[in-house]
Amino acid sequence: MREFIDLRVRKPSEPTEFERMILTAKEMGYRHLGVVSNSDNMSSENPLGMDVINRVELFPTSPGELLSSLSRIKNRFGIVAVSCSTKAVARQAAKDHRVDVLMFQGDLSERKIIGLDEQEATLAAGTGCSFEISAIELISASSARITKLLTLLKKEIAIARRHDLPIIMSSGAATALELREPRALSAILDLLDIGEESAFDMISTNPLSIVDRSRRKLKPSLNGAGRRRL
Amino acid sequence: MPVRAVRRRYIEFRVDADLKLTEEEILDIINNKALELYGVKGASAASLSMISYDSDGRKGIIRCNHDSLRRTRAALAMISMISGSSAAIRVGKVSGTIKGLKAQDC
Repeated sequence: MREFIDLRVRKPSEPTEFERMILTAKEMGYRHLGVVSNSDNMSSENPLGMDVINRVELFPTSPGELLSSLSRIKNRFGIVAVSCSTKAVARQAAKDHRVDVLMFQGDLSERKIIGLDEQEATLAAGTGCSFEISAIELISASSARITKLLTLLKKEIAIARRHDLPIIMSSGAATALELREPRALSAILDLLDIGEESAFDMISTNPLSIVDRSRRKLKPSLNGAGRRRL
Repeated sequence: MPVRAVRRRYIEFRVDADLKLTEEEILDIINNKALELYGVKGASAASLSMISYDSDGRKGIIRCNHDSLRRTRAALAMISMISGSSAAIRVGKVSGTIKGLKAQDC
């Protein structure tokens, strides 16, 4: 049986909402959650039995800034994701072994230029990096935006597939209402012409392999793997 | 044994929102989303119809064509706002018959 993971859940400021999110995710059938938190001191006191993976998101504006951020956070987080805002940042992130996930967000006209290209896909596939799609970006998009976004994503997915770059799908939820069931995320991927089996891989095997790889990379002194039993 | 020309799927769902909506309003919201995502052809191929909806419990059953199950799930998942408020539609069980849905309850 598949184990599902939502690799991108944004931690809300209210602890009760966070607890609600974990409960909802558990009800939906998730076993693991990647929680965006820029603090590595995430509470480990939670009897809900969800495997929570500490995730950091970097928003560098230059390759230099990315490198300094990566050395600053060294071995403190289970998952390191980089939001690529320029071509130079995307290239640097794609070739750095410390980066687990590449994200492309923001303005669509800029993204047409900055988005995943053949070179980045080759580099990222070589370093074990993954390309991430956030469901929230699609869910919250207006009718006009969604058409352009789907076209862009289809192009990026085709590039990623050509270079065997793993693709992952996460919710990007910041509230319990924004969470979606694994089957719902898989159904959303139908909009990108992704078959059901490949879609399930994007929310189970692909992200889980990143977590396992990152676990092996981290020092044993740091809670075994940057994973905390909550 | 005769084979049905059109195979149906019955989807049990729950509306997570603070609003109290009628059966027609919910069906409109779902139909509009399907139309926005899949166009007239795709939305009509799904043949969506509301079987039942309990506006107090915010739970219902919607029917779609077997071939459009994934598309219907996508339309339901893509609903994030209802009348300007944050909302979500969660899918529970799916079955080929209403009897089957009820049997899963036992």
